[in-house]
Amino acid sequence: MVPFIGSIWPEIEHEMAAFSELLNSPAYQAILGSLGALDITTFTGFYYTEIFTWLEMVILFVTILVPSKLISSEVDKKTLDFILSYPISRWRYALEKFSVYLTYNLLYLPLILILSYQSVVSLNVELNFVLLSYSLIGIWFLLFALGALSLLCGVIFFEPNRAIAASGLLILGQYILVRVAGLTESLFFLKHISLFNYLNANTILTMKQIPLDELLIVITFGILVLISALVIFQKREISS
Amino acid sequence: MDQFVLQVSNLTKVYGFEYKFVGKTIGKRVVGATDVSFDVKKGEIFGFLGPNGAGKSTTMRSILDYLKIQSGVISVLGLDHHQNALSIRRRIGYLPGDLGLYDNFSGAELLKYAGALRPVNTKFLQELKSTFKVNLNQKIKSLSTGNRQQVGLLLALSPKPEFLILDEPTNGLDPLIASNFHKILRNLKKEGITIFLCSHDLAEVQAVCDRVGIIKNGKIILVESVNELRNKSIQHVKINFSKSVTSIEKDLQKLKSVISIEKNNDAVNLKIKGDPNELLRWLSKQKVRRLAIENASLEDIFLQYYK
Repeated sequence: MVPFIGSIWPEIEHEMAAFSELLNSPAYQAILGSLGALDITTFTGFYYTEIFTWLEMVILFVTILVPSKLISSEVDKKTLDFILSYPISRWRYALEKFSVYLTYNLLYLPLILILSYQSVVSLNVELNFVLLSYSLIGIWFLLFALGALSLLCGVIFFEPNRAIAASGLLILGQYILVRVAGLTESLFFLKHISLFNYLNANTILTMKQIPLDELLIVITFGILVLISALVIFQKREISS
Repeated sequence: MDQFVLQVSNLTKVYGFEYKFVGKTIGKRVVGATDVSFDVKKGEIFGFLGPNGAGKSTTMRSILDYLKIQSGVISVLGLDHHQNALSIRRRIGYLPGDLGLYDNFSGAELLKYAGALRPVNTKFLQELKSTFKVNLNQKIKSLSTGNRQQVGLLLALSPKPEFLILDEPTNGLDPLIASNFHKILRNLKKEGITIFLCSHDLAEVQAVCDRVGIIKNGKIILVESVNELRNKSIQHVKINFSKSVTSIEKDLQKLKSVISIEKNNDAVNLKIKGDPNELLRWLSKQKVRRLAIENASLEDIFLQYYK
């Protein structure tokens, strides 16, 4: 997807001014969320809008489906009975599985950076890689916090379909919330209860740094939810 | 003094909850085990039997600390099952009844993975590999039920732990491998390893167990050695007399060990329980043409309790 986004820029660069006008419509702005504030007539604005819109989809897909099944699918396949008969505490086992999920997600960062560098070199345009890295780090922290929420659903429901439904409700709900909140000022306060409001690419690009207050909110939320998930898994019964 | 590897005292486990609100009962409580008490001595093979839903799984899962018990004490290898769950797991081997293994692993990869969590006894593993005829290079998903079970047994037995908890271990195994597995169990017992065996296969229990515990409706109804159980069992006696048996019925009824009499011309079928000597003394005074005494099989005995 990254090389594709880069490759279409020379073709559509001249049309972006008109397209930008179109995107000023409140409906499109609501769909784009914070990314709507980016100037898509520039390569950086266009590139960020495309990349981070896709990454939001990846976040939704990955966080809803993967962490919620880390433990619940083991209950479903009855492998949990087998593994927990070994000398490994439940919380540690869940934490190690979650760490693998986080490590896999960490691979997005260098992959996107390398592919972006290739695009930039071949198009002979400029892109601030430090800010792109910051934005990708922000995405990774969101994957952590939302993943912890999804894991919590998994250890509460212990059944993959229910766990996915619950994490889908909570994560997609937050995604919709931040979009709905962007529609009107009276609903603007709703943004603050959605994790998608924090560490977004536009804020990082505007501030030219990772907003530490937002980072703290996301990390604190993620850690608290992760601890809750681990404690619940450690203490709950594992019925046959 | 007997050294106990497993002691279960007054274990009670209730599932679900019940809450009374404005005269109505919300929720439902299901009793899994009530006041279950038994113990397993070091170096013995203890068979744990019971019909489906009797409380076998509840008891086993409570021992393994998968379930939280409402009351009672469970001591495994002298340690509290909950407080020392990890220390206990270092010293036990467990084969779940409904075995689930990671489908994308091969048997060899699983053994390697499990070996990192609980060290394997390499020499014993080689012995086991020669007994269990399973291709360890095949992915678990491509193995048959019996072969998966063999991988499960390899995983549970290979560390040669002090205490083995096996739930339906011969499930899906062919008779030859099952018989070889029984030999392994007997050898492990000789080495002082304790085995807690949950099985529906009564022939298997008869073949390997020293003692059995029978659970029914969440309560232990019997803990007895297999030999004692046999001795206590009803014996079928078939006697053919040289003359008609009309006059001897009253004499037989006087014997304490005789619990039922069936007559057929010159033949009498008796069911006796307890000491047979009284009957034998009486028979020595009669003209007996043929005498046959049969022990009730363990299966008959267990089925009495299962009903």
